[in-house]
Amino acid sequence: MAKVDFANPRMPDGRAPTSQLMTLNMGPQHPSTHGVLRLKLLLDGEIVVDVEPVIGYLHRGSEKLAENMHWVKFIPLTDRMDYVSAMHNNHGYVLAVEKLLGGPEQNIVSERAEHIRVFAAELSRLCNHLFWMGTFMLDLGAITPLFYALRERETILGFLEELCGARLTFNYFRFGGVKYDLPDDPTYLPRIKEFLAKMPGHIAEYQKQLRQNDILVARLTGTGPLSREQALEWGITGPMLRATGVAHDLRKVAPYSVYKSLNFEVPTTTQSDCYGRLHVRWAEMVESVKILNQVVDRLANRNLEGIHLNPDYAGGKILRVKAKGEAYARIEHPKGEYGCHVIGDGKQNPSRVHVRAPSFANLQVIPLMARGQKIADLVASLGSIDIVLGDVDR
Amino acid sequence: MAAAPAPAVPAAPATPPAAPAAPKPKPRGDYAMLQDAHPSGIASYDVLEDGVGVLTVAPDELFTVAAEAKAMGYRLLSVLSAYDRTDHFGVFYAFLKVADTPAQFAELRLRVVLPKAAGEPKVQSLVDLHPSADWHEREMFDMYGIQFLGHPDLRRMFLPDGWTGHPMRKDYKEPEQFVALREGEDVVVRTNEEGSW
Amino acid sequence: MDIQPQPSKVPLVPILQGMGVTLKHFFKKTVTTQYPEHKLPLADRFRGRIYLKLETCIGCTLCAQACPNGSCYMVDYDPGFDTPQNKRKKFPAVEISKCMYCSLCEEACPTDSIRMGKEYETAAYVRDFDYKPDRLSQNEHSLGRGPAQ
Repeated sequence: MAKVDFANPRMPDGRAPTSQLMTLNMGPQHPSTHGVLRLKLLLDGEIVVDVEPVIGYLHRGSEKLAENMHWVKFIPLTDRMDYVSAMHNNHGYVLAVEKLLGGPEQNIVSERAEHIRVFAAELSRLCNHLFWMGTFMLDLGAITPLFYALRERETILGFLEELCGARLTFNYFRFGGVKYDLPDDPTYLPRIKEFLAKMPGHIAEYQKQLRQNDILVARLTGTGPLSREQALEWGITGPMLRATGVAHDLRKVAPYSVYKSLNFEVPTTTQSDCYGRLHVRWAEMVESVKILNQVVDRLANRNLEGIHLNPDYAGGKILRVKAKGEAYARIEHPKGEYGCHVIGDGKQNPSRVHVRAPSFANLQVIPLMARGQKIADLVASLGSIDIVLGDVDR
Repeated sequence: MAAAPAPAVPAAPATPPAAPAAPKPKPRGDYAMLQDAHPSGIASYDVLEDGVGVLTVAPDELFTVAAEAKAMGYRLLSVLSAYDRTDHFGVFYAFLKVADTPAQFAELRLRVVLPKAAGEPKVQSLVDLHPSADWHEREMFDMYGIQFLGHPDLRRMFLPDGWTGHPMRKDYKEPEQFVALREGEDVVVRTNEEGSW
Repeated sequence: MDIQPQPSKVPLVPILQGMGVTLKHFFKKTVTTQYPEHKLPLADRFRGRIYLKLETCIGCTLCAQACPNGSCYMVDYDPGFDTPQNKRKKFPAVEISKCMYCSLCEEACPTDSIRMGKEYETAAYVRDFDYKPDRLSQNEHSLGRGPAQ
């Protein structure tokens, strides 16, 4: 996107403006930018003529830090990137390094560990979509849905806390498995089953509240439009892409972990605006519940082979991991494609770790979505992308 | 005439015979098509540790190769990453065929090697082909100082404009600097020769 | 799977439905907890601040090596009793304000001497967060606070 010329403003079609345009600064400390995103707006009255996102206020240089630490020490740092769904960040990085350690077949992870990984990741996806729904509605001025979303999210965070000891920054995945097996508590899986049985009812409750609400429908329909061609050109992935009618879900088309053996659908819609995206994410939550039900059944009934963590990478050996070669692994993060490009020299520390952050790639498109719309709609478009600034700036 | 008696035990060779070098992997499918179409632009084909091939492309033929890949259906620029090895910079691209089913899905990886001996790294920009390369290229310019020729707006992505040096380079040693947030533009302040602000 | 959002035809009814959901919850039990007075139970694996067992620490420095941000480091410390397993008397110290509670030190420890406790209220009036081995080895009770309920 070419740089916006604020000194010599032009309308989107190239002609000179007929009225006085205004330059407005939004952020970096603005509640509806989900963090420290700064938007330079060019306004014609209330209509957005152009937007220029300015990022980097949360840049912590994680990739540089990774080059100076042991392979395993980068896992807690990935938690801090997208702190809303940290399990997926763990998963992407660990998957990439396992490709260096175990080759393309990745036979260093037991089947049981893979199921626990999917279990944790899908709970995290539910968390992410719930929190997204709550904050998205908050952006639109509806405060109540946040409380319902957080109520379920708290329950899930409680489950994750029992699983790995933390509520947000899990640091749960390890090379060769996961840090802990499922909790010893025999009521753990039954309680999760109970929660999963209630979850579709909860989603129906959100939908009852929001789905047909006249104000919401009027605010969201036609807001932040993005055609299929634009989405492909701009490298959009995740629910944003699926809202344009492409059923591109890496869990389905390039299965990793045990997603191949699980039965689920990829929801899509052709109504590619904020309203369509809301529906895609709701449907994805239902699918996540479906996946979780299958995984919990397998963990509970079938005695899955293997232990949760490969003993070659457990205990004090976590520091002795030495990887050599180059690999790229991608997973389906709730926000889009999350990838990790790692290069190792056979030393204890990586030579290069690059994180392909879904928020960063998806945020690029905000000028396309916002041009010609009102400022309030810009806030809705921004919310519908589902960005986390920790992920954008890394 | 009696034949010289053969030694009972053959002398062990001083060094074991070198294991035969693994046969160089042959590109297949779209990789082979690309390599046949651009014999001059594509230097080599390697398979990475995760089992996916990568074509090493000459920096000034990258655009044509990527354009052909796009015509073959690789429409989504999945990742653009760069790295710094001791003697060269590299830029790594992965393109995806966006698919509804696993059968339609495919991945193509390209790599550009920019030797440090050839001066400042320069590579063709893919913005005209994949608009999404815009921010990714700006990020790599910011972090590695790789010039993407043809990029419409090659500015720093994360660091402020006044920053000195490209921090992800292995030899990055710059004076300490910090950023003062100012109305208008941010100001970068760095130490002088004596080490004071 | 293709989903088609269908807005309602009749205005105002969905808003009342939404209000109904809210009103229904008005008569239900609260789900929130009044924090300082009431605390939620913590999981068994909860990762709070670090504790050190001086009796078993062998001073192997693995915890300091495993720390991602250098908040855990080794110091010379005399515990006041004989430590045959740790003749050089090297013990870890942790700067709690820098600690990111990742538990890698706990994982690397070969003797389970360093572990994450259940204390999470480490705020203090005096900015003294550099916990030396003596403070690290004090348990919740000797600090005058019971474990969180």
